[in-house]
Amino acid sequence: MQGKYLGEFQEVVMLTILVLDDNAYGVSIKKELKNRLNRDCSRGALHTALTRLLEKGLITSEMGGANAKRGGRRKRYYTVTNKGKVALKEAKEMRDQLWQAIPDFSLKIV
Amino acid sequence: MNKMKPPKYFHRFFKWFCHPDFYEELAGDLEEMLQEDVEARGMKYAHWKYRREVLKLFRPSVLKEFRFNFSISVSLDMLKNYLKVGFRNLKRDKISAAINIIGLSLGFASALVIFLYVQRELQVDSYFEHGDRVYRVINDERPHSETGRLLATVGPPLAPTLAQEFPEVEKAVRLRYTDNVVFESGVHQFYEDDVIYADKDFFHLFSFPLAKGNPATALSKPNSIVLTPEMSRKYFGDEDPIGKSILMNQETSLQVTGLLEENPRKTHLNFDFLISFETFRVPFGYPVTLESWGWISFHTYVLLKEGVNPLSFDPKLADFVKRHVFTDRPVRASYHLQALPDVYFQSKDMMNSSEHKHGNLSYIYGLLAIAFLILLVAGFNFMNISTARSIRRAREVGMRKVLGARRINLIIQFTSEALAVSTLSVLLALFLFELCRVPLFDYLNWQLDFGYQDYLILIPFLVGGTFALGILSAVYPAILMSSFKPLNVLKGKIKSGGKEMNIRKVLVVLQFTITVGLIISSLLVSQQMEFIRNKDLGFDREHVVSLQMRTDDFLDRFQLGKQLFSRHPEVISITAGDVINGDYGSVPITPAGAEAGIAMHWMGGYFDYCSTIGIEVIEGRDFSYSHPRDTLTGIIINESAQRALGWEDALGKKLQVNTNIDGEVIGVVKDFHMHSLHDPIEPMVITVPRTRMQNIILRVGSVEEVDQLIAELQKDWAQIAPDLPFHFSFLDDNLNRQYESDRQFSRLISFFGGLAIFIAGLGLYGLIAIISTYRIKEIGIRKVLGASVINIYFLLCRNFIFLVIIANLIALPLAWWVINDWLKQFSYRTEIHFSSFVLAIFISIGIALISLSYQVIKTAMSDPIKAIRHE
Repeated sequence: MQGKYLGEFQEVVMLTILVLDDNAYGVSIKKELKNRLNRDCSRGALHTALTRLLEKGLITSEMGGANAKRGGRRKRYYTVTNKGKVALKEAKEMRDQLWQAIPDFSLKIV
Repeated sequence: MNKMKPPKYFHRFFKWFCHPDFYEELAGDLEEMLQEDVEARGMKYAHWKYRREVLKLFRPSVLKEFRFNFSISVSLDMLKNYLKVGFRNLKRDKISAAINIIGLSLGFASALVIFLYVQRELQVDSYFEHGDRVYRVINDERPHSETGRLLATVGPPLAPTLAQEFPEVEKAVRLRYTDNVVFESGVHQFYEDDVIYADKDFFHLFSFPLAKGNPATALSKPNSIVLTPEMSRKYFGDEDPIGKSILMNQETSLQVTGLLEENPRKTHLNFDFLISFETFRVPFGYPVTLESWGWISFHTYVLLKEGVNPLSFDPKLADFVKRHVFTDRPVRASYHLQALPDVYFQSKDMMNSSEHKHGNLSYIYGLLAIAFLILLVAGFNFMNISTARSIRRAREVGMRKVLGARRINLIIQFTSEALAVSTLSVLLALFLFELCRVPLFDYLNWQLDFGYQDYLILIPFLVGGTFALGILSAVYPAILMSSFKPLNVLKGKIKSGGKEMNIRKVLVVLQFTITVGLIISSLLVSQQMEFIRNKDLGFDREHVVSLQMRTDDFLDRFQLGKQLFSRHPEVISITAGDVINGDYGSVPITPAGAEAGIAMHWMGGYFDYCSTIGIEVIEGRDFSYSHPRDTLTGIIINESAQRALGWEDALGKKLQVNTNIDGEVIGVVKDFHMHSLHDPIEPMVITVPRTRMQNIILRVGSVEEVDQLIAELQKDWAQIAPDLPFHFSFLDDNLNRQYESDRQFSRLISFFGGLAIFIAGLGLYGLIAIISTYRIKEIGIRKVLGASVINIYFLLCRNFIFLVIIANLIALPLAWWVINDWLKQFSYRTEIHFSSFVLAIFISIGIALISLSYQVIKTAMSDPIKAIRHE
C-alpha cells in the first residue's frame, strides 16, 4: 500500500522536522537540509514531499508566526504525528534488520 | 531593515497559479528566502533565485484547480440566463443596442462586399483543368537595349514551332485580339471589340465548359466561331446558334461551332467571340506574314507536360530563340515563361497587354485595409459603449460575484452577450447586403454575378466573422466589468473615470484617425479626378465626335460623308483618322542620314486633322487639301519629338517613318496629352495612314442639342454606309475610359469613407448619451449655480472635440503620405492643397459636433431640479 511506503526524501524531511522540534517550517527545513546533509532542494520539491506526508497523515501542520521579513505572512509549522513517528521507527527497524542480516565480510570495502 | 520587494511579474505569476490554500505559506517562505539571499549574496542573486523557485513551484501539487472552474462556467442553464439578462439589457437601453447593432452590421456588410470582391479577384484563372501547367511566353528586350520594351506578345510562328520542337510542350496556342469587327446575322449588325482568333487547342488550355459543341474540334476548321451566351442572344435571340452563320466584316461567313456555358468572367481573357486561327488573314497593308518572327502581336500560351519545371525550360527557350527568331534581326530579346496566375496580376506594365484584363494587387490590399478599418471603427463603438455602460451593470456584477460567480464566469457571460449581438448584426448585415448589392455593385462598377449558391462560400466567413467580431470587441469590456470588487459595487463606490476612461479616449482618437484619414483621402482623390476632368489636354475633348466606319472603300465614302455632314451648321470641320484613346503603334523614326531610329508613337490623320481635333500647330501647317502630296510625304511631329530628334527648326527636315514612309516635316504641334495623365507626353509623329482609316471625325460647335444632331447624322449615315452600323462617340467618352479604375477607386474610397464617418458619428452619439446621464447631477448643480446652456454645451463637448483634434493631427500626415504615393502614378497631378486638410478638419469636427449636439443640448436644457432630485 502506498501509505506505508516512505520515500527516502520524505524520511529525511520528517527527521529534519523532528530535529527542528517546534521551529519546523518551509524555510528552516530547507536550510537544515542544506546545512546537515548538504542537500539542495527547491521549495517546490519540498512542498511536494510535505504535501504527500500530510496526505498520508504522517505529519500535521498549523499556521502561525508571521513577521515582517515574510511580508507579514504566517508560517506553516509542521510536526510529526504519532503515526509518523511509528512509520519512522518501522523504517529504521526494517533497515536495522537488514543491516544485521548482512554477513560481515560483505561490508569489507574491496 | 530595508525590505526588498520580490520581482513583480514572477510574484504575480505565482499568485495567479498558486492554489489559495498554499499561497500564504509559500509566498511567505519565498519572501523570507529572498530577504536572506539579499543579505547573504546580494539582490541580483536573490532575484534570480526567486525566479527559479517560482518556476520550480509551478507543479501539480501547487497549482490551483483550473479545470474545475471551467466546468462550472459552461453550464447550459447559466448560458441561458446570460442570454436572457443580455437581451433585457439590450431592451433597456435601446439606443446603445441600436448603435451597436447598426454599426457592426454596416461594418460587416462592407467587409462582406469587399471580401466577395477580393475572393473573386483571387480566383481569376483558377478554374482551368490544367491551369497550373499553363504559361504565357513573354518577350523581354530590356536587358539588351536601353530603349527595350517588355512585351506580353511574341511572333506568330513561335507557338507551332515550340510545339513541334519540344517534347516538354504538350500544346501551344496563339491568340490574336481584334477589335472593330462588324458582325452580321440576319437583321442584326454590330461593331464588336472583344474578338479573339485562337488556335484549335484553346479549350485544352482554357477549359471553359461548352453548352453546345465539341471543345476539341470547335476551333479546328477555318471559318468557325464560338460564342458566349450573351452574344448568342444578341445575334440569334433564343434560337440555337449552332450551325448558323455570321458574316464578318461583310466578307467572311463564319459558322457557329460552339456556345460557351457562361460568359467568361473569372479569367483574364477578354472575349465575346472566339474565331478559329485558321480564319485569320494578315490585315490589309501590313508588311508581314504569319512566318514573321518580328510581328510581335500574338499572345502565346503553352501547356507544359506534367512534371516539367518551367525554370529549367527557360534556358532552352533562350537557345531556341537564338536559332529561330534573331537570325536576321538586329533587335535582341529574352523570352520567358510567365505562370498563368501572374498574367492577371503582374503584366500591367507590359506592352500589348492592354487587350486582356488586369487585376491590381495594391487595389486588393487597399480594399482589405479599408474593410479592416471599418470593422475596427464599428468594433470600437461596441467597446466604448459597453465600457461606458458598465457602471449600470456594476450592481449585477457585484450580485453575481456575491452569489458565487468567478471572474471567468463573468467573462463568459459578457462574451456570450457580445456574441449574441454580433450574431444579430451579421444577420442584419446579410439582409443589408442582399438589399443593397445590386445598386452598390453598379455604383462601384463591379461586375460580380452573385448567385444564391455563393452564400454557401460565405458561411465560413460569416461564422468566423461573427466569432471574431464578438469575442474581440467583448474582451476588454468583459475583463473590465468582471474586475469590479463586489463590496465596492454594492456600496455604490464604482465611478466612471480612471483607466477605462483613458482607453475610451484612445479608441475615440483611433476611430477619428481612421475617419479623418478616409475623409482626406477621398477629398484628395476626388481633387485629382477633378484635375483630370478639367486639365487642358492640348486638344478639344468636348466638341469632337467620331463615327466608326470600317470598310475597304473608306475614302470614297468619307468624301460623300464630308459633303453630307458639312451641310449641318453645327458641324465645323471634318477629318478622318485615329481617335485619341491612348492606344497607338510604336515605330522607329529615322532622320535622314542617321543610322538608327528612335521609337516614337505613330498616329494616323487625314486633311485638317489637327484643326478638327483642336491640336495647336505652332510651326508649319496642318495636313491640307491644298497640298495633296501630304498624303504621301507629309509628317507632323509634336514638340517632344522635335526635342528627341534634337532639332531647332524641324520644318522641311526629312524623316523615315517605320522603314516604309519617307517624308518631310510639314508641321510641329504643341505637346498634347495623347495618353492618359498617368503617363508623360512622349514623342509622336502623325502621318496620313497607309492602311485604311476607320473613323470619321467631326468637330461640332455646340453640344447643347446633341440628340438632334445625332438624329441628323444618322439620317445621312443611311446614305453613306447603309450596310454598316452607326456608331457614334464623343472623344470625352474614349478618354474617360482610361480613368475607369481611378474613378472606381475614388468612388470606393468616398463610399466607404462616408460609411466610416457615419459609424464613428453613431458611436459618438451613443457615448455622449450615456456619459451625459452620468453627469446629470453635476450639470444640474452647475445650472443652479448659474451656468448657462452654452457653458454646459462646451463643458460636455470640449473633451470630445479635443480628441477629434488629436485624431486629425495623427491622421493628416498619414493620409498625406498615402495619397502622395497614390498620386505618384500620375505624371500630371494636382497639387495637394492646404485647403483640403483644413476642410477635413472642419468636416470631422462638424461630424463630431452634430453627433454630440442633440444629446448635449437635451441634457443642458433639462430641468436642474429634476436632475438633482433624481436618485
